[in-house]
Amino acid sequence: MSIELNDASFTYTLANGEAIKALAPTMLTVEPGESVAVVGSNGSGKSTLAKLMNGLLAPTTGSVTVDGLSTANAGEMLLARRTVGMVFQNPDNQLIATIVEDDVAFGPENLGLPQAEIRARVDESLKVVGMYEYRRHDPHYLSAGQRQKIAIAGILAMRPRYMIMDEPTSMLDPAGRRDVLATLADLRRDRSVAVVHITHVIEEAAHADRVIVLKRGRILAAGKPGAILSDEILMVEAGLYITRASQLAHRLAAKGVPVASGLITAEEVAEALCSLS
Amino acid sequence: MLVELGAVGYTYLPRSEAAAQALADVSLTVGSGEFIALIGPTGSGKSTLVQIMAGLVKPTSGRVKFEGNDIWLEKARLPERRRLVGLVFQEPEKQLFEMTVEDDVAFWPRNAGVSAEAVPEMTRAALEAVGLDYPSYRERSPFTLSGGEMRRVAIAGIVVMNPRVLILDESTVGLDARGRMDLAGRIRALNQKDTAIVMVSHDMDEVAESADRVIMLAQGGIVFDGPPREAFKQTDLLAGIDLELPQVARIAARLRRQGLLGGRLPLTLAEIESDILTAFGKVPE
Repeated sequence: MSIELNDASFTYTLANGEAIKALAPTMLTVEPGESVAVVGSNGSGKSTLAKLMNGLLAPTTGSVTVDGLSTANAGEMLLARRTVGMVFQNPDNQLIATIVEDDVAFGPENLGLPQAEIRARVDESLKVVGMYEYRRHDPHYLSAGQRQKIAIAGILAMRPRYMIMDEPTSMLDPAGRRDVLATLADLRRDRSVAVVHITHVIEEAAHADRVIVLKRGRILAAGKPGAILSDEILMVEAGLYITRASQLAHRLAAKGVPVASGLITAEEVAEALCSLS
Repeated sequence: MLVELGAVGYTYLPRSEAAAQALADVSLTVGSGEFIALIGPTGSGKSTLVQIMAGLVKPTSGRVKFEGNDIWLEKARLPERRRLVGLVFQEPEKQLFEMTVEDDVAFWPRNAGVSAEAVPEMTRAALEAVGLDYPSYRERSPFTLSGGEMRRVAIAGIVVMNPRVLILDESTVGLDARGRMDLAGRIRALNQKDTAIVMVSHDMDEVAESADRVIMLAQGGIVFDGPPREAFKQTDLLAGIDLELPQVARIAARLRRQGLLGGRLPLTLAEIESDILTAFGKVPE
């Protein structure tokens, strides 16, 4: 059981006939319960990778399998998609109903589940994202962060084994962003669903089990967040950056303050400095 | 003063049941060459305020002046004043419409009666100010560009008017980190050439490193107006309007609680580095 990319690549063709290689042949496995962050600059192939993982795109070469089901086979792809939920940047592209609980129930209803089961799943999913009290509200009158959490609940109600989040915080204000990130942290802790979080915000990738760095459609590096995300040469090569907190840690270490390497967030660096005194 | 707002208020749908007050009693000035960051939570009135500053929306109460003259009493001069106080909207790339980058950026000069010989030079200068090379971009269709490049073309379309005040409403949102930092540098460079900047931003790191004045808005009113070093000491105020401290200030705040740092609140990496080295008995350069 896992999502497996076996030399999967994706090429699309422009109207003028030009072929654009969005993803070079790629090997990648995502295990159940795992938390993986995918980082890369604009045009690095992050969204293509996401769409390959849930079968929205079929690979041009190679194969993508979800728990053994090939996304290149139309019948198997539909089954695979039930196992892999996808959350997009803009929650408004995902919300359809005018009452929160109807929206969350949409997926389970289409699975043809019994009413009692649907009810149970809707309630549970809304509680996971902290939106249960809003179940009778109209999502269009909620904040963008709340709408994104409802979109996440709608996916959770499908009981996916994997969840792919394509920059789920990029359209949110800081409050909404924190809110959605806290929900992601809960899902990570819970481990009942694997989370693949695509982002270009380095701080958001810091808490994953594993980070994958993409550059121009290729995996440039993969490993533990501390080692990868604070590596300035690597990150700059990927068209990314290291956090100000990491920069400070490097600068202080170079001047003889014994700060450990691999620190990413302001809180980590502040703790490290406090423990020195 | 370039721009002066006196007791400005704005109510949506006045005289109706749904009337909603977006701004109340807002007074502020924008002086020549200032770099102001306008911060506040979603729905605090930031976008309404900048549209009023730019003379695009008429306030329902109060005065808007440009160089001392009430702009709504001299309507004949509104177009000129709208040029001098240029506003870049959120997601401005959605307003690109011409076939080539050059036509899009040259739209204003060509329609404002600038002599035909002067237009290419103005277009080149505006594109270069936002970091796009004129010869390689002029012939391209804006719609084949990346999101970040489109954003820059849209900003160039305002920069080409040589405004005295350039207002940017969340102009770096949605760009990747490198694009954001590069654009922030370009905006600072415009400011150094004496264009006053009013930047609406949620990115407190950017605010700490760029602005020399911070205006905080909450529920349609100004709750703070002062230098960033003072602004980021208002931790209760910031928490109340759900804004985070910049990373550098967050590290400093923790070290201050521990008694490791005192004195000024550092805002930039260079400042905090030097403060910490001193605190740890190392000699800063």
